Amino acid sequence: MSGSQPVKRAFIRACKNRSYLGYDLIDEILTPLCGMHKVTKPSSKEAVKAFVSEINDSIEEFCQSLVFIKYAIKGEEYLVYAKTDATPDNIANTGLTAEECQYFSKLLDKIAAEENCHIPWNAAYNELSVQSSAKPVKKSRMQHLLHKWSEMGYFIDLYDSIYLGPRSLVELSFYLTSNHSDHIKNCTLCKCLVLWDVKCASCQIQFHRDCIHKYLQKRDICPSCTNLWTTSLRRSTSSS
Amino acid sequence: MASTSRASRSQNASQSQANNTQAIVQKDDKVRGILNYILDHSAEKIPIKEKDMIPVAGDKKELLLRLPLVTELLADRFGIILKPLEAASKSYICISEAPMASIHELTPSQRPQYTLLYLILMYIFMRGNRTEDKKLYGMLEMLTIMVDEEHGYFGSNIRKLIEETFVRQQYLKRERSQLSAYDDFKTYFVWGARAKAEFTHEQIVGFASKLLNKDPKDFEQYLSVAQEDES
Repeated sequence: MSGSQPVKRAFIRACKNRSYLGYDLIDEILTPLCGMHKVTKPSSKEAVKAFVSEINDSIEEFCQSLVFIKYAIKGEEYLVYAKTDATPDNIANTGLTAEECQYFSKLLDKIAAEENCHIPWNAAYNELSVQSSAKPVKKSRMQHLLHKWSEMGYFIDLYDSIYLGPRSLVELSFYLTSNHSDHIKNCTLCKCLVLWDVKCASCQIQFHRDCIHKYLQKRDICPSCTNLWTTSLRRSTSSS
Repeated sequence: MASTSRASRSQNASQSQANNTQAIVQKDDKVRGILNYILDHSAEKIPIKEKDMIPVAGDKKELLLRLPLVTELLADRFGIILKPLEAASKSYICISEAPMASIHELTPSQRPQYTLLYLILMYIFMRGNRTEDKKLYGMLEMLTIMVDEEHGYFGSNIRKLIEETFVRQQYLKRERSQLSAYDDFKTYFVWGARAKAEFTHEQIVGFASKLLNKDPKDFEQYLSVAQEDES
């Protein structure tokens, strides 16, 4: 759909506000939007991806980008509004104090240091106050910030734990794979960050489900250790 | 061999003089920096001060030369309209070129805030575009919204949301006045610059008619009064 510019611009603004969107939400937003401007809605996933690709051409030179990422822990693919020049120090920092910015970095590092990149929800507050500062962050403020950062997609509250969110995996991919390389690596097949995904039974190396599925259509060994691949790729939970 | 002869040096001098008085039309790093600064600050909806943008551009002149191009790019690529808060203002606000097509464009936290804002804007409009704060809070109380208590849907800090956040975001404006020199000062709320730019009275009437289960035609009188005020 080489469509209407106002529709593309409105979609960019909506994505910037929502930060990360599943396909259902994308459809909920596009249906009234395309109706309002009387253009055909991109309805298949491929059409949505093509639509997003056209949008990226117009915003990428300003370090803004719409990126699709497979978020394995929820079995969903999300469209993330990402700033391509983001670092842990400059994320979401307008209006925040230095201590509050530090809280973001500490929380990120604490979660990324765990083997499965999640911590119990109360560990997000008790153990992270910046004791030595003149203006420590109050617990109520920490809760408010964590809620705000979760709405922004940097963290996700799931099963009573705080996980790295899809936006962190997109914007901070380089930071995470460089500084937390024990547990956070890139899939050797597509070179993008992979987390909570399918592992080889022999060597425990992780791959994206779709990447290894495609690879195994031609070969039956692990791309990393070359032993026979035995891990089932059938999803244990039902997901779209 | 000298790379610039006297003739070409004077030509360069007059060219750069011409550039100094014209707006910059090329996207350089400073243009991108200013645009990014504005995008980063647009979510909070608080006016962006010229003096805060100056460090990004280097100095005031460099900033002002680039603002026309930044304004054009924001509108063309993002549909964001950058406008001065008031005629001779040194602050700017970002307005979307079109209203939202649905509430799905809002985050779960924003929805109660917008609902409350619509209620307040509707009430101010129906009271002749101006209402005393006590009367506004009285109306909310009738809807069991107590501004100093936590509400199940609208959350806590409702007074702060109305008196601080909505005012800083330019959705509402607070005014103080006294009827005569012998009267106490009273505080009034009117629509702020952002509300006037983002919403039309017709939209608010549409919301009010759905909420109160009435026909939008029932509000015609209010609309014509408002239109008279504006002209």
